[in-house]
Amino acid sequence: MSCDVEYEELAAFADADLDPARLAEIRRHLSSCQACRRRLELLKSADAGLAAAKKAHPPVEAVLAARRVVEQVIRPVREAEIMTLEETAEFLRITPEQLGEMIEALPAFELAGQVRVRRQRLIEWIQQRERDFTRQANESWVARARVVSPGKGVA
Amino acid sequence: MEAVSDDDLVRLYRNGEAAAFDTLFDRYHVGVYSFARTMLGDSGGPEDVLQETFLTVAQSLAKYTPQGKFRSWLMRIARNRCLARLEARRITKLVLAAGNMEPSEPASLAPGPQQAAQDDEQVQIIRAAIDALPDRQREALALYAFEQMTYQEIAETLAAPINTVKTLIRRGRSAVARKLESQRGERT
Repeated sequence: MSCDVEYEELAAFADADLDPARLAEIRRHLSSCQACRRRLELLKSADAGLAAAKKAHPPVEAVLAARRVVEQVIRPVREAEIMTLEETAEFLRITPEQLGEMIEALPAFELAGQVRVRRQRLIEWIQQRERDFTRQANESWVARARVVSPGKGVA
Repeated sequence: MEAVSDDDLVRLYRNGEAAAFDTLFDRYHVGVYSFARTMLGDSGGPEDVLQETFLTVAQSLAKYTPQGKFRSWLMRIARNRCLARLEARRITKLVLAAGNMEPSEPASLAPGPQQAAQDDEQVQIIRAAIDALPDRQREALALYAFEQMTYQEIAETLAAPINTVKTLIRRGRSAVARKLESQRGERT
């Protein structure tokens, strides 16, 4: 059976996005045209299939690469960030109580009665502590070596 | 709890909260990649489009005017990146054709094995139908079906009148339906 209702118009019919007279006309036509009813069903299957066709997820390496590139741009913003003590503790992976015990050593400042830490200063502070730790570890190793082999020494 | 709006995240980022950008990235990186894959295929560099899009967003966020249209703005950037690649691909094909040479790597839009394994048969038919659409229909349908954007958002993304967008999407849906019809041998 031939008819003049195309898929595109059936799609508009499915969206109820036609003028009321044409909507009614197609509705009447559908009651007598098996081919169009089948097309409308296929259109609904297509819509359902499109809804079921999940998004393609990017590979993990692609996500990490994109993050690395973006990080170069947003790093200055991130480093300028001002953190609360809770955020600082989380950043340092210690508890707020542990942080409280070392508050005087922190590169913090007071603002409106609240203690705040600038991320960039905190990073510099950590780097200094890393250097101190390495130096102390070396000194301690040298001292231990001297105790174990007093005659030989360590250059 | 209601999610923080995109525009509020943009404002937070501009006020120095870098983590707000991380949230925007988390919210949209799959959509950008998925759109780029639909437009370019696995071998067309969708991962590069993902990277370039968010790099451009990070560099251009100062120019964005918060009007509740962040997603359209972001997807427009992704779309422009895809169009540039499609154009480059066309030029390469023309050059190769002029020199009577075959492209070294066919510009296949077929999903890679990883994606194919995730899809059932009907979804594979639908993906093949989408891949065969003209670029304009494919991009409109991808935004409509996968990103579930409104006609208005798609019109903003494609910088096209809303009626054009409706026509593109209906043609795309119809093409998918025709493909299903031919697969089921139900031609009348």
